[in-house]
Order: sequence, then C-alpha cells, then structure tokens
Amino acid sequence: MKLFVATRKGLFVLRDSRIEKPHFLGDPVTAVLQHDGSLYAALNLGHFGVKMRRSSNDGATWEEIAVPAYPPQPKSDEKTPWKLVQIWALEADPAGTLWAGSIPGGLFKSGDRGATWTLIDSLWRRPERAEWFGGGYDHPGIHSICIDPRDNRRITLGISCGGAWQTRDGGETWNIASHGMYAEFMPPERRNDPNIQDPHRIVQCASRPDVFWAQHHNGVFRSTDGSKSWQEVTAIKPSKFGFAVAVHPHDADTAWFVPAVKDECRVPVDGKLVVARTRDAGKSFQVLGKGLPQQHAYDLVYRHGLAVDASGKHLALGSTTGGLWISENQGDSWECLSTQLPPIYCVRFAD
Amino acid sequence: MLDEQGELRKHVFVFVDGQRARLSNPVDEKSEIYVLQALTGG
Repeated sequence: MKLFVATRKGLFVLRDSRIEKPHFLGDPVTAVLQHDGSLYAALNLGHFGVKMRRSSNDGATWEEIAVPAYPPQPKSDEKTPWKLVQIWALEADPAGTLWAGSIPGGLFKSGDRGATWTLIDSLWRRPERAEWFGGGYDHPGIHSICIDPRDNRRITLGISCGGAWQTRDGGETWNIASHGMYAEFMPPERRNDPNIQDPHRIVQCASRPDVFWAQHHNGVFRSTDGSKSWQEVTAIKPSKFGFAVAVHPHDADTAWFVPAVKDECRVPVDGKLVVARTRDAGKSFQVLGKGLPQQHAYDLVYRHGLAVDASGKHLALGSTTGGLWISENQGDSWECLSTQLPPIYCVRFAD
Repeated sequence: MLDEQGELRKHVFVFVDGQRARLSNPVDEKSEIYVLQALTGG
C-alpha cells in the first residue's frame, strides 16, 4: 500500500506503513496527483507563489512545469484579484487531460501534462461568480472536481462558497448543481440560493456516478440524481459539521465523514477523534474510534484529509495537528503512523 | 517575484538605496536594489 501525504511542510510518501524521506521539505504542498506514470505536486511557496512540479520516475527527480495563470484583469469593480492563490484540487480524466481547481475560483485544464494550462473561461466569466465568496480563505475556491467515469465531458465541481457547478460538454457550458443545500449563516432570503452554498467537499461514487455525497458547512447532503438535487442526511453523528467525506467506490450507500463540534469550534466532539460511517445511504451511522485518540484530541481533518482506496477497504486519515492513521477494514480499527507530521492538507492513495 | 498581473507578490518587498520602493520607482546604474521576502509563520 502506498499513500501520498501532502502537508504544510512537504510531500510525504507512506509505503508499507513506513514514512519515506519527504519531498519539498519545508514547502507547503496543497495538492498531489498520480496519473499515467507521472506524479504532480502543487506547491504554495510563501514568497514566490504557486509552483507546479512533475516527476516521471516516482519522485526520484522532479521537474518544474507551468503554473496556471489568470489573464490580465480588466478594470472593474470586482474585488477578487485575478491572481492564482492556491491549487486546491488536481484531477486527471481518462483521456489524460489534467484539471486544476484554484483559489480564487478558476478552473484550469492541461492537455499536455502541465506544459500549458488554459483557464475555463466559460465558468470564470459567469455573472454568478460575482456572488461567490471565500470560506476560510480570502477568496472563493474550487476544491472538488468529480469527473464522471461514464463520460469525462461530465464534470461536477464543489466551490467554497459558490455551490456545485456541473458541465456536460467538457466545460463549454455550466449549470448550477447545488439545489437542496441550505446555508444557515446567510440572510433568510438567500438561505437556499444554490450559488452561495458552501459544500466543504463533494465526492462521486465511481460505480454509481449518479450518487454524490457532500460534507457541507451546515451538514451532510446526498444526491442520487447526478447532482440535480440534494437531500440532507440528518442521521450523521456525533455532529453534522466537518470538512471531509469519502465514498466507497463500489458501494454508493457507504460513506465516511470526520465530524467536528461546529463551525465556531472546529475540534472533535468531547476530545475524541472519530470517523462516522454509513452503510445504508445515510439512514444510520456507526461512530468509529478504535485506534484513534479518544481523549484530548483536537485534530481537525481538512477537505482532502480523508481518502479511500480503489478497493474500498483501506482508508487514510490525516489531521491538521499532524496525525496520520490508516485503516485496513473500512474504518473498524485504525493504525497510527504518526502524531507529529506537519499539518496535513491531503492524503491520497497511489494507484 | 511578480504575479501574473505584473505586480509584486504579496510577501515580497523591494528597497532602492535603502528606501521601500514600488515597481515604478526610477533606478539608475548605481542604484542598489534589495529584495526582501517578508513572511512569518510556523
């Protein structure tokens, strides 16, 4: 088993329960992708901005590739600078096209392994973008890119805070796809506006791609109609706030979450780090804590800090306080790999 | 040091002859340009 762990201070690789020497030690790594024999890493250097690296030899050496860039900003009242702040999502479709989601809300694609990137103008120029806003960051951002395994022209995005957006034609046209979500923090008349929702993370079931799960700022939501409509899953426990979600690739009814107290108190409930699992489409949840710290745990798990492998058996969990755990039995029990890594942004299983 | 809009990045400061400068500040052959990366954090 091999796992990539992107952290505030480097990219770590876990191989057979051993943490190897880190790549980019000291540098924030915000996203990592393995595709077609290459590794991609998005760095966010404090002084010199975002940098992209690619390795064709499993990380033995890295080369610098192009960084997605915004076009010249026209003069307007817009408050969002057209400047790349962070790569927040990195995915590849079966045709080999790379997709990058960014803060401040631009989606980019590359058909040449990152040598060049193109901003998806059709989304960036949507007038609705003016209503998006940052959630936790200064500007809105695309953190989830779900590419439909049946048809890679169908792509669903999760945006904090800009709801869910979907294309069915490879990015030519876009539709809002977050009807049914609600935002408690908004003025009442805007509560159900799909364009200002804050889905913290959206995932799509590989074997039943019409099923999506979302951990939203205000709770857990599920869609069974390809993101046309969303229904709240109220049985989640011990709390409904959180960032991460993972769905079983072969069983759309099985999903995992990492609840925290609430938005004003982003720590595990009662100091116990737990994973909530449903096996019945959200009707009921098991609270799993075996092997996870059950007292004085203040770990938060970010959007990409929970991952499931292609088999649906192995899970990985990485926290902001540097805890890393894996489970080989769908979360029934967990093994601790470290409690002292740098803050973890993203865990991702290798192919 | 510059972003895609041609502006100095957020955490980069430039001094010309010891004075905090903007990109529009004139320099001559003898000017000393000092670039400081100003960022803190754990």
